[in-house]
Amino acid sequence: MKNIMIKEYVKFGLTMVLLYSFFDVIGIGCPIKFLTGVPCAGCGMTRAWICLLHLDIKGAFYYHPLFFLPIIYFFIFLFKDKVPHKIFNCAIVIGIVLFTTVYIFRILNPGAVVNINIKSGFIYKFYKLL
Amino acid sequence: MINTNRGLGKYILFTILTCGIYSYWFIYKLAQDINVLCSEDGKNTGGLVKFILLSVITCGIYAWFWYYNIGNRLAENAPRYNLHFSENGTSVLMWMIFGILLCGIGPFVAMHILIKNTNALAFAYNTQKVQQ
Repeated sequence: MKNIMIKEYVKFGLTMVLLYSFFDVIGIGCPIKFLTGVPCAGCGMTRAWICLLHLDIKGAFYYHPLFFLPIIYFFIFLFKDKVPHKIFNCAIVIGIVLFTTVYIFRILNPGAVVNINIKSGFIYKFYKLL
Repeated sequence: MINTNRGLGKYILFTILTCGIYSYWFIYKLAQDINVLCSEDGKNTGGLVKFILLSVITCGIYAWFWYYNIGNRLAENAPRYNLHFSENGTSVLMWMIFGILLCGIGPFVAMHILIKNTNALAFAYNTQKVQQ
């Protein structure tokens, strides 16, 4: 059962890597930003991890202050069966609150990493075309 | 026999290739299969027409409700087949609503949960049928 679960996770991970690589190749990148022109809560995460790989922790925090969370949540989901249900639920709520708070803060204080440009979004362009 | 070979990759690929039409076929078949798999609970999952009409009327909110119900129904019926799913309708809904803010990955995770759980139930259902 555990092996089947890991196989499912790997299949899902590979599908997502392929899909988002495809998005990147055709110039979509982040689908939320592409459609709306508004960056998503995960925008800056890739750049943050690139900084981290260059051991630039300050730069990683600059691009996304929650860059370390995905790895923590990866292990929480991987060992979900061993984590008590209440703690798992608390972790999920904390994650949602943290990401939403940081997202709202960054949207209200746009900078070099997060900038809103609705006119560059596909939906706006399509609407104008009509 | 119920299809046990649904996959997220196939779903995404065919949805892109058919400009979204495959996703509706997928929902149609999913609702049909879930109604067979979970027939003993006395509930009914709305079909494609209801899904499309009510989703349009409610600006997409009914679609969330539909996915939530399916997630719950699969989790509730798992013990009938000696299975246990840790994800339920709430997990699916949370991924749909909040997960979309993470580069749009949430709905894919939600769909993966539904596909994985439907496949597991379908496999158990087919095995039971063969044994009978």
